[in-house]
Amino acid sequence: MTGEPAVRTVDLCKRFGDLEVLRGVNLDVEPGGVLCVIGPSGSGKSTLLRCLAYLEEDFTGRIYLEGELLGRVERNGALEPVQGEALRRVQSKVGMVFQNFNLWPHKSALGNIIEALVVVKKVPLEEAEAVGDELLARVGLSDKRNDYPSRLSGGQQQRVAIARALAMRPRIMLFDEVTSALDPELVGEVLHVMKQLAEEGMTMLVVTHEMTFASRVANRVVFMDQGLIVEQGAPAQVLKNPSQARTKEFLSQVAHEEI
Amino acid sequence: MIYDWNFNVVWEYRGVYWNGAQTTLAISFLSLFFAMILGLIIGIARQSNIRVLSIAASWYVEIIRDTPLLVQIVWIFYCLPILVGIDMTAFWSFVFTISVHFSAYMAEIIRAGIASIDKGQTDAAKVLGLTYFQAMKRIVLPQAYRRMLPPLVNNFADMIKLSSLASVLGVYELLHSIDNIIMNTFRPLELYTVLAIVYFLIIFPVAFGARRLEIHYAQKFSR
Repeated sequence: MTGEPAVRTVDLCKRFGDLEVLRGVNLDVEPGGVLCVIGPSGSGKSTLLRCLAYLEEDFTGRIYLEGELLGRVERNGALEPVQGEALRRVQSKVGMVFQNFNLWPHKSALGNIIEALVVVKKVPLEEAEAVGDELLARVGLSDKRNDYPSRLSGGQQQRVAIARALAMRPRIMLFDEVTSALDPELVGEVLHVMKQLAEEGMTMLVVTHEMTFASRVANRVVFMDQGLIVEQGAPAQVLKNPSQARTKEFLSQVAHEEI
Repeated sequence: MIYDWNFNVVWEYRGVYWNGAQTTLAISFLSLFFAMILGLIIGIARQSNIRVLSIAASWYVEIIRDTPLLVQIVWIFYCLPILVGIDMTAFWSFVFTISVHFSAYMAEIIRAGIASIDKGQTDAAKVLGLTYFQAMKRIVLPQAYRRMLPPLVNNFADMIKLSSLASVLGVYELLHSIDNIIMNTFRPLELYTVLAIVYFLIIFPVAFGARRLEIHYAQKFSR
């Protein structure tokens, strides 16, 4: 699918009852690009990522991952939901890391990483463990291999969660406010792993309040408000010299909070 | 009060206690097994997004919980065979009734246990490609099980106690067996006292074992 964006959304809408959370989001992310999504609470940032991960199935509009429709098939000009292997094949292009880690507490760090490899991809246990060990080394947690999540710090848990997502070899990684639940001194270790991933050429969509990370690592920043993309562009432009009043207002509030 | 205790009668009829205890345990374990399977199916059905399933499961639970167990026992033993033409022995009829009765309570425990697991746990499983049933089996139920264990064990202890109701159908479990001896020996104090002790000796290890298991899991997975 050369030339296709890694992620494309076309008129993406999502509502919860009467509440319209996404109101026609059109977005392109080029392969290997790092897109940071910023915006106030309730602007639809997380819902956007959840739609891309197909955790929200009931959306309207289209999502293309590397040129392939996610969760839908086009028949006679109409979109119909698709299930089973056809869905799984497209969905597996995406890995996601959550704000609250969502590690499985009854499995060790290694167990968390290899679970889907063994159960979904049917990789033999020994082979899966080798992959798990390699990923643990990559996120700097080889010594925590057999520890349960409750024995890990927040930053360590989040790094395990990143390794768990990477184990399935996704083409696109989604990060949903992954440092928001961390103590300030633990944020750096997680951002470091994410920066490494970006440098390795992983396509990343990052919902974040870390403006420094956005300005240094992203090649594009999107500002969302009330379910719409208000402004997007290069980090220097959106973060330092926004053209929209709403973006300016948001950024001044964030800057004020950071002080 | 002056009463001339004579425990010789207990020793003399120790075999009856033994046989009765075996029947009581057989009823309890068989009922536990069937009630767990049925409860799991009903519990998952109650959580299902398929409305017909969840409504049917809710009604099942309501009907069972809102009718007395004793009525269920006699209805299933005397009426059900007439309606469906299947004859069961008193033993199996009782096991069936107790299983159905407790499955309603177990379904509620299982439903609450599943509902108590954070949605993020299944979100993570779904993104990684686990199916609903894989996520349920490998992620949700192992966690929910730890929370379900104390109430499930309480139910099992109740099940052992309520197995004594099999006596109304003439099943020779502990109570009915001992009642029978009392009619011949007229020593109710000794025989009932030891009967209570035997029940305690059966139920106490169950409760104790469950508490140990709870502590074991708490230590294994928590800080």
